[in-house]
Amino acid sequence: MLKYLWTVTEDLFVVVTLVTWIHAVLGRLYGKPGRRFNAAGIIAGVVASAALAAVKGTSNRIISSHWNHYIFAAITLLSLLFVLLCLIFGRKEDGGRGVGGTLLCLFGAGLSAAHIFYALPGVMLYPFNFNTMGEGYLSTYYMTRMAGWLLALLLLLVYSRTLYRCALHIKPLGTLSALLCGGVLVNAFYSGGRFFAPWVTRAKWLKWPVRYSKESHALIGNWLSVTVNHSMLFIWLIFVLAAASLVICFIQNTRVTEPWDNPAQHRKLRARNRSYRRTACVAFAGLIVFALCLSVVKDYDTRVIELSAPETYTVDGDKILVPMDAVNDFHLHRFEYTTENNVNVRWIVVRKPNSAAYGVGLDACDVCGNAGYYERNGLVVCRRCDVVMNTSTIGFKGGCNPIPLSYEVEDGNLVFALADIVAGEREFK
Amino acid sequence: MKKFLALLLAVMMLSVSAFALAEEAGFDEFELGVEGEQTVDFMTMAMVYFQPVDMAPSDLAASKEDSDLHIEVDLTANENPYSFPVDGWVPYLSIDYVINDKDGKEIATGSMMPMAASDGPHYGNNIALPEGEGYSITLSIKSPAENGYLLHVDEETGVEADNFWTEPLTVTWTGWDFVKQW
Repeated sequence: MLKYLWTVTEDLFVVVTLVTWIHAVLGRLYGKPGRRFNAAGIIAGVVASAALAAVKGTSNRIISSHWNHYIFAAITLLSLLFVLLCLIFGRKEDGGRGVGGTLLCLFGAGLSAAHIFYALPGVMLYPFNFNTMGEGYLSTYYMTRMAGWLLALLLLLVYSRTLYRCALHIKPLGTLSALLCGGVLVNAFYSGGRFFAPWVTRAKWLKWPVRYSKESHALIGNWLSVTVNHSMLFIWLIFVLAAASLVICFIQNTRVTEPWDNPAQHRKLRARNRSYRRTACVAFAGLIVFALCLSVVKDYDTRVIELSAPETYTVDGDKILVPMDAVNDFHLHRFEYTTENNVNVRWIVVRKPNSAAYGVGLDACDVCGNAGYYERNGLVVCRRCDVVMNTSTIGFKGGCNPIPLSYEVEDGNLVFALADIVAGEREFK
Repeated sequence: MKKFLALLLAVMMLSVSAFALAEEAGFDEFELGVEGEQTVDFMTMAMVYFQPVDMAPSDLAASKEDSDLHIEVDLTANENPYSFPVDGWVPYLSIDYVINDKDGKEIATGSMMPMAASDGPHYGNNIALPEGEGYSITLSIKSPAENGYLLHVDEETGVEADNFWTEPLTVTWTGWDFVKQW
């Protein structure tokens, strides 16, 4: 659940913020026609995204890296043109549209469509790629992931609605336009850098006449480098702009500045301001939730689990003895032996549920190497791929199961041959 | 309403036709590291990466959902004393990988599994890795003997070699800038 809460937020936050602001700015500039232009762009973006997702999900006709290259180009160019036109024509509220205004609306709608088309197809495909551990669409695995995905979309929807309402009441329009242009330029810088990714990484499909070289194209290399190493920075910059817009909206509506004729009218204006402030607070609360999702929740969800400390055992000649009393509690126990080659070989022991048998294996598997296993809510989980082991099959060969290790039971001890442990050395080199 | 529906329909039809017709089928592989193809003992190897993929049986590989990319090593045999077909794929290897960041800190380890894609057999796996620059990846290639692959060693039918290598072969690709382009 948590994974999709932060993933969908990360994928869509910038898009939702910018598209909402474009809608507000075009609406304030040209009224209903302006909003219609952008609505058409949004619809086109969503429908094209659905079509792309459908084709991508059902065939191998879409090579995402090629598409992304062109979308990044489109976003960068449209962003620059939109900002330019916004500076020239986007000053007067509810003014006549003219040719310039129509162009501004077209580029705004195009930019909305391009933003959506870049981010939405992947989000649409998530539910078709949830890892259900083979348990189907009605499993807890699927439902929890779906809940995270839906919750993130719902939060973004509420955020968009409240951000839009606040954007309508930021005065003057130039302040909102400045915030929007700032956000669009930040995203254009990111998209521009990413546009060069295939060239810089020498993708074979890109047939540009000049080959990239680190020395002669350092500027472009560094540009891409910033977008790779600091991709979250761009999201946080837009986040700051969005927060600023809400603070501005809140402050501008703390007192009534319009003239009023009587106390009733004054009360009405105060109530209206209170309503705007509340909307700003709701949107701000949404921002705080997103900030938590992109920081605390993401860090928690992607944390590297520390393996529990190895436990003690006895070496008796060419045998290793582990007292059964020490491993009878149905929890995961880890042991470690350092070989002559100074390799730490780890193995695990867990008593199987409703059984006197033990699941025993090296703390490694064929798929994930020596990443190791840990216990989560009574379940044994692979630290690398997060797959939950079936405790009953630990000790069996294959798949994500720990590499089996033979043992015998003698005088209240699990007895391992030292040679078997040493033979496991190759998994831990 | 009619205009709205017409717009929807037009965009949908245009999109589907464009997506269905515009691309050649397939997928894009990205070169990993600056070394390109490398010769390791009797094998020529090249490493590539692309988007994480679904694999079956699913319990033998890391899931697409929990991974950031798929890495694979394409390898072919050169003249060799084990009688592997020249220019053919070499089966039964165990290949482990270690990925270090530009400061040399180990950031990912694991094993590469034998598998086949539309472009043929290879060793690969889905892995989780943050985007970054200057990564290096070192492969440790253990001999087919460790997976129970035998050699004829008698005079009449035996191969040229008496045994497989006993210490893992290693090879490193450096200067890998991992950028997600999918």
